[in-house]
Amino acid sequence: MRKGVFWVILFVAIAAAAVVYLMYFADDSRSFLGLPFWIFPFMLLHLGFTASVWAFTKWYWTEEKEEEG
Amino acid sequence: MTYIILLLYLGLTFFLGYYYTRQQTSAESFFLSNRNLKTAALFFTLIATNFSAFFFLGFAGEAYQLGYGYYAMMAFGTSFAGLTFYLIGNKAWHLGKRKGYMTPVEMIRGETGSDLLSIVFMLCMCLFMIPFLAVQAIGGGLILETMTNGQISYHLGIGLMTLFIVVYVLMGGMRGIVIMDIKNGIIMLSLMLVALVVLGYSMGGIEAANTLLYKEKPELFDATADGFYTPLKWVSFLLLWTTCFPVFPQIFMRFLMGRDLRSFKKTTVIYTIIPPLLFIVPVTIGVMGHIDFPALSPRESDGVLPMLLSKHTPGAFSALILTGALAAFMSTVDSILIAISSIGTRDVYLRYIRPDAGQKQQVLVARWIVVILAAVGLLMAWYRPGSIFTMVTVTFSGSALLFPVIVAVFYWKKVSALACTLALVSGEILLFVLTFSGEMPDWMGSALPVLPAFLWTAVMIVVFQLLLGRRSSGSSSLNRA
Repeated sequence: MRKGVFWVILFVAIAAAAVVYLMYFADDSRSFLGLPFWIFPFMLLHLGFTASVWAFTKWYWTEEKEEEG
Repeated sequence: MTYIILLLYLGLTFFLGYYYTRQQTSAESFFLSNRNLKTAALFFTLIATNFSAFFFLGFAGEAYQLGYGYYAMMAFGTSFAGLTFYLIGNKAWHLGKRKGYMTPVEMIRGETGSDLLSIVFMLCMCLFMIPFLAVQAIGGGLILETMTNGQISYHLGIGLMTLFIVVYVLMGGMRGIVIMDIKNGIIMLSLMLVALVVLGYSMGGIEAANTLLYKEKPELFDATADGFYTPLKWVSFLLLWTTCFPVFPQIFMRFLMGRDLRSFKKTTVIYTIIPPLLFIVPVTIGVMGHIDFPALSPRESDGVLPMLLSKHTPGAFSALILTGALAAFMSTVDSILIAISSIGTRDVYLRYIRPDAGQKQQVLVARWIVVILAAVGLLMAWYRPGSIFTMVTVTFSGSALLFPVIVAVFYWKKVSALACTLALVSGEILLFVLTFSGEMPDWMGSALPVLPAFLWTAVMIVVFQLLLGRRSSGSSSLNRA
């Protein structure tokens, strides 16, 4: 249960970080292929999200297996 | 040449539908492809089902209106859905495997013992899918009209495409649909990428096009879409995309098709990473549309991709790329049709009309429901009541309110069906009032109507539960099974 709360806080924090970055810190100067620069830090944030989902499913799946056992 | 490409694509689709006709041996095979999909098949069928004509046309059209800020919203919102896929799908897979549930409505009834909740749930789930079905038909009509330079009119196009899809769904069932999803997924993703490269090249390079646009319309590069996305609106959209996708019947039923949990887990993680890589493609195309078509209305901008292709590429190439759009459109329509028809068959016909119906009779009824649904979607597409984006937002908002109900049923052992029913009905009424009264309360600022309606539904489940007490009958949640 305590670990479950940790995951909820983590995912909400990632979403909040994305909103705060885009609303207040994003720099629309251009970069690779003329795309706005803010896209690339945003993609890094996204990779972090994917990694945390991977870790979450690893943990949650184990819990389910234990439950089944 | 255009017609040859079109016929080749449709011929391949028809052949696959015919081939898998012979493999329909049971209702479980027709509805759930025998629950034996591995990671690759599960991933492609989820992607192809979820990335609809909206991905090909609506994305570019909306990016035309909002610029690159739209990318951030869609990429993040869609990949967050991977998380909710896992939360809902994991439980659904377990329950489906243990108790043989074939539809989400069957699962809700089985877990709560309530006919009332399952009926309300079914109505919300299916009714909100009709506009989404119409959106797909609209997309198909626009694509065919553009591919053939107007030789096939929009209205003839939606009629022909609907007829074609109905025929191959009737033949192939879910097994055929999964195979076609894999084919369609590969076709649509690769052709969208090719479209960006070729359009960028013909405009002097993607970087040159962006440089030109940055000088003329710098607001297109703003992360907030020139102030359109406020923090509250961001939260609204994030909530919307994250919660509506897993409760779409066509997506939910895919949760039941995995061979094992390991396949489902891998699919979820892959799903979170694909959107940010893919969505930049239609968004860039939509933004580049400003170079050739500087002042399109929201409804006109839904056609910006076909318009760019017509202007910059030969007819045959344009037809080839738009085949990808057809693939996206068809892979979503067929899944919606089969999902709702299975709900109609299992949860209405088998439950209330002919409980003793055999497997063959169930499949026959499902086929009739497919035909009726397709006709309703066609009728709505014929009159085309709004832009693709507007129709999609209405559909998604109504569906999102089912999410707190499913979470409560799956994760709250003591929740009562009546509390869920009252919360859902009151939430949908609130959403309807907020959406169509045109004015949001001042304290909600720029939030979408779905945000207060969703919060209302979630909170009212708790409030009604406290007022009404424990789950009354038939309770058999996963944790107590």
